[in-house]
Amino acid sequence: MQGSAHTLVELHNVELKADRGTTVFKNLNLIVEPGASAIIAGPSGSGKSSLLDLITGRRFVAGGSVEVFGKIIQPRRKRLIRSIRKKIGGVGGPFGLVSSLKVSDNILLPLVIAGERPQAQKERLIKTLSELSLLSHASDYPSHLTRVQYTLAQVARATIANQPLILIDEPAAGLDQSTFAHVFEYLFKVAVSGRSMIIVCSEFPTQDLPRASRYRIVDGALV
Amino acid sequence: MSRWSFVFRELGRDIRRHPGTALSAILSLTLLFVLFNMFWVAARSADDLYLSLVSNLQMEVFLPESVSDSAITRMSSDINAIQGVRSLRYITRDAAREELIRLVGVDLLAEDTLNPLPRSFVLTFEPEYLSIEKLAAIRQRLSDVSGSTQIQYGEKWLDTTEHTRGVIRRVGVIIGFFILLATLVSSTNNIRLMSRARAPELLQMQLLGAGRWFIALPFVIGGLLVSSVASVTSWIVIVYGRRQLDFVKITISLPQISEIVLFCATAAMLGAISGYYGVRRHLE
Repeated sequence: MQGSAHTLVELHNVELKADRGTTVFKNLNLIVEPGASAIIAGPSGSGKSSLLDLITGRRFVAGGSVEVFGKIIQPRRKRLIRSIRKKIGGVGGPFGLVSSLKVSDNILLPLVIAGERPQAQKERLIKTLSELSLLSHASDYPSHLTRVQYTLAQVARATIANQPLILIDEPAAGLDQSTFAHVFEYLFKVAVSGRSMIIVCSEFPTQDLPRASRYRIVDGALV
Repeated sequence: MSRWSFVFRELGRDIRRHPGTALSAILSLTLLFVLFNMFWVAARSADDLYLSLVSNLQMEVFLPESVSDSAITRMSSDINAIQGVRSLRYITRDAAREELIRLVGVDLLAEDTLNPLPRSFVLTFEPEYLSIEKLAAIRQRLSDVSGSTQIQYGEKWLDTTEHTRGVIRRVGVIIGFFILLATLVSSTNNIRLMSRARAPELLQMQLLGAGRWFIALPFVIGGLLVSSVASVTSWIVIVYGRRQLDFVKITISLPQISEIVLFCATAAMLGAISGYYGVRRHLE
């Protein structure tokens, strides 16, 4: 089933119910075009993470539709969901680092899954680690990283495969203002390079991204 | 890093992080395989013993007084023509008397002027005809040959021996089935425990677009390796045990090398299948 080919993410009249039957989303609409970004704020329990789950195919709508990269996400389309996930980078929330893998192996994971050549992997790894000042932590395990290093490693993994869409769940969680500014600075560079982001957070950040729209979740819809 | 090198590194990491689980999996499977192999060896040894005992089975056909020498020649060729008869020996009265003396040690007929012992044929059979049904059929055909009065062979003994062999086989199959079932359950459970401990990591890989096999392969190969090591070890234990039992007079028959290799390959395959089933819940 084909969706709109011109949008990166399109949520149309989405309805979502929680396991207990309460309504999470009702007629929620969102369009993110290639190169554009969305910053979505909402209080705890408003469904911010659920929104990301809908885009990654972890959860499915009760009504309406979710299109990502022009393809409609449905429960039975597992192969399609996998191919969509390969094009999505994630930071925070469920996109934690694999604790048993070194930082370098964690960052390389999207390239390994994609079947990238080892030499190309190495080149991209060094470039990404340098850009994020993580070279000295390449051999560390995630448990040995500080909060900011952990977030930067997630950002590195989310961008190493030139993923066109990056989902970010609470980017400021556990970070002070100055370290968050450092992370956001890199995200800004990524956004400038033409990649799209959907950031969900409790409060809007003071910084902004190029071509970013701001939304707030109110009563299960975006305003 | 290629996908395959990642898969093998994951496998190595799994074993390094949970050496106790891996070792207990190998030991419990080894024990189950040793049990299975013991029943296999016991059934095979019983089979070989049965065949060696039965291969000596003879059937005696006693001839009445009225049968002439020319009739004996004709009967001899008739009996030889019966399918399944391997050899036929004609026993004269004198030969029967000599046999009696050999068996008893004294000539019980020394005072008799006439030898009352009957003439007879002693038959042996091809191995594939040494069963109750086939020997009964041969007996029937022998009865049809004119002149034969009485036919004797260890019918009851054969019946008991064959029944015992059947029981050993049936019990072996039932026990073997339960042992294999226990092997599958135990192996699957071990992999399930290992994968449950890694559930958050597996979810993270899925979110990056990792496919079913990319996630499952380390567990599948792990199951295959554990089962292979356990099955080979179990045969080493059995062969060692057999050497230690050299003083026992009963022949302990091991399966052929090709059968052992097939067993180990099947065990490895079962291990791989249980590896997949162990991690299956985390692949959705």
